[in-house]
Amino acid sequence: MSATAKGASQRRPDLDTLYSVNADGSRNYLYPADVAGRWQVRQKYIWAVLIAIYAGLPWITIGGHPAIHIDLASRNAYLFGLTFTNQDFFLMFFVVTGIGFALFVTTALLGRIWCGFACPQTVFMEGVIRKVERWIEGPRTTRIRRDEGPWTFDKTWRKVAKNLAFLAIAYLVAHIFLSYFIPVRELLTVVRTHPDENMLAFGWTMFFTTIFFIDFAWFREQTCLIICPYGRLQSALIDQDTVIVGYDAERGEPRSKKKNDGGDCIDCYRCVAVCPTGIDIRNGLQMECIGCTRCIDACDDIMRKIGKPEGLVRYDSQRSFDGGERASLARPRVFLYAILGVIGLTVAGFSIADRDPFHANALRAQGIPYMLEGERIRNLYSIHLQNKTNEPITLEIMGDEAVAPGIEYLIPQPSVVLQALEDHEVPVFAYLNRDQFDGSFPLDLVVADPSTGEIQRLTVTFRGP
Amino acid sequence: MSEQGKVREHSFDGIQEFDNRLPNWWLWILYGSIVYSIGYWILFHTLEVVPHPTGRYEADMRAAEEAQLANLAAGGVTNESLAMMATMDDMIAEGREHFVTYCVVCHSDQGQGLVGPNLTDEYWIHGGSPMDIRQTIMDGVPSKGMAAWGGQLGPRRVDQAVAYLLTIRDTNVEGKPPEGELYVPAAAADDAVEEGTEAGPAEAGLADDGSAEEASAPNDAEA
Repeated sequence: MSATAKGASQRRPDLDTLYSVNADGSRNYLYPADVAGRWQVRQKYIWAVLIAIYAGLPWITIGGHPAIHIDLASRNAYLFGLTFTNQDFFLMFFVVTGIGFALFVTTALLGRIWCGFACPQTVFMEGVIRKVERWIEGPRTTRIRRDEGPWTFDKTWRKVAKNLAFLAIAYLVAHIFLSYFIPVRELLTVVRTHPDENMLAFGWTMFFTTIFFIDFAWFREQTCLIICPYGRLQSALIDQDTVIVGYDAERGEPRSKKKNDGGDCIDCYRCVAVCPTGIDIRNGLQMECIGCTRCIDACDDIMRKIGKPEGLVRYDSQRSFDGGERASLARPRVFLYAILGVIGLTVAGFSIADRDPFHANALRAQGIPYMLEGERIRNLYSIHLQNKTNEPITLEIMGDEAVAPGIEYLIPQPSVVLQALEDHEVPVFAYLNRDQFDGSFPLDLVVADPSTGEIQRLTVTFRGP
Repeated sequence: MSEQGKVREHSFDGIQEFDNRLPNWWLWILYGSIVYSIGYWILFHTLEVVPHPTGRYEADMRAAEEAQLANLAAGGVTNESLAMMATMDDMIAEGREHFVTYCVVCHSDQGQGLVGPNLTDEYWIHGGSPMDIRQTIMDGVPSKGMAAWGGQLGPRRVDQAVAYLLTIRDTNVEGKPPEGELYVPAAAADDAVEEGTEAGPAEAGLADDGSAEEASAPNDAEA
């Protein structure tokens, strides 16, 4: 049994095995057929917009930095004019949970709409790579026939041309990806210099070019089927009322080649031929389905031709396919995901809006907790200051006399200039006469930015014998 | 082949599994990882041909220190240039101004020491060569209360302050008792010339946390 198309024509997708893997573990390559229809048109526009955003965003500068710039070397991130330092990293928890649960809500309502319409894997694979493959190698049957045949000149040049095209696309996509980490104008200079001069950047672009090329040219649907964790979560996220791509078995069965005998499904196999992950949608919802809608358009086309109503394969809930009423959108899981998502995004939003322009943290200096200097007790603190803005700021440091009267402060650097994102440590000495000391007590150090009036109080403990 | 699509006998809470074969690419990644791990083990741990992450980290740190020193040298600042500045009246005058503005809080009006150590004796906690003093002022010793002035004043003013300090040292103003190690300029000058500038300040920098602390701790306890 051949691993390629001959096998494919004998073997049919089932629920018990992965169609893209043969019984001996070898790969069963898929040859999705061409399909046209309203969903394909919609996807074309959506994907064009998404690719434009992906490629265009690095060129947009907000507040002196790219709209999205994750600077790994300095561990700072610039997002749409906001600056985040590594100390803001905890915010990622709320951002990620917020976005994650937003995706969960979408999944509970509309199934794998993300996979079919917005995932970069699908956008590039279906929107670009397969189009190029179709253009160079021809339609499904031609591709199958050529792959089964011997290595002729025609086959060789087409394979070489196709893979070179994939490599070029991978190279481009990898550089766009890297430009979210290295500002695009810098990257363009890097590209024009000798690799020796920017080994790290060069290494990463080559790494991602290789990864993307392997994905485009060979790995393809295996990414979605075996590697992607989101796909594996589906069965836990959706329910009977989730809108999915499905087959109306009530209407379709029993399948019959004869036009007016049995159900509407004429077993033409079009829905299977167009599937990019190699499933038969008539077997019901499966882990492999990325909700790409190709089978919907393929079946609608056939239904129109045989004069039957469209929608034998369509977007609908499992409950509807089973003959039940379409339930309301108000289901416990939708509310649960939505609430969790809103909590995450709200906390993230408030924390981002409420971020301090500078970070101040006071610690007792390492070593001896206090020192006796004649009749006086001395404590030494160290204030760590970090400017979290893109502008230089001047910070003033003082002790709050009201909180701990009798304390005498000695501050070598009462005023500190911090450049953008710079950090600095400032020592503060506090003195108290020994006869005034009866047990440890708290005192407040104050860090103020006079230009904005922003004040941070840092409470430390004064210790003595 | 016959195993494909066949359900295995065991059942966990009614959940059963197929006995389908893993994709070959998946298996090759597994075998590849096993081979790689053997090579990794031999290269990194048995033969130690390739440096460990810790070894690499240390090498990076050494490289960074050297780069820092090269930077200093590129700025033209050396023990000799600082000593020369200490003979120029305008530099000393400006240095004194910075001293009065920023340093007297801790080191007192004549440098005889207050909370900070006496700068007029022959003992230095963090090294007494002009470059050592410069580094102490530039980077500070935050854990002991010495602030880093490099960013606030800039190298020019720090150099002027060093120049001023070089004129008041060994004047032995009555003040805080000596702390740190005895520094004899001539010997250190020889060191700097013969061993080059590479080893000197780097070692002094490393000593900051170790020997310097030990040296000052007994004094603190006595005081």
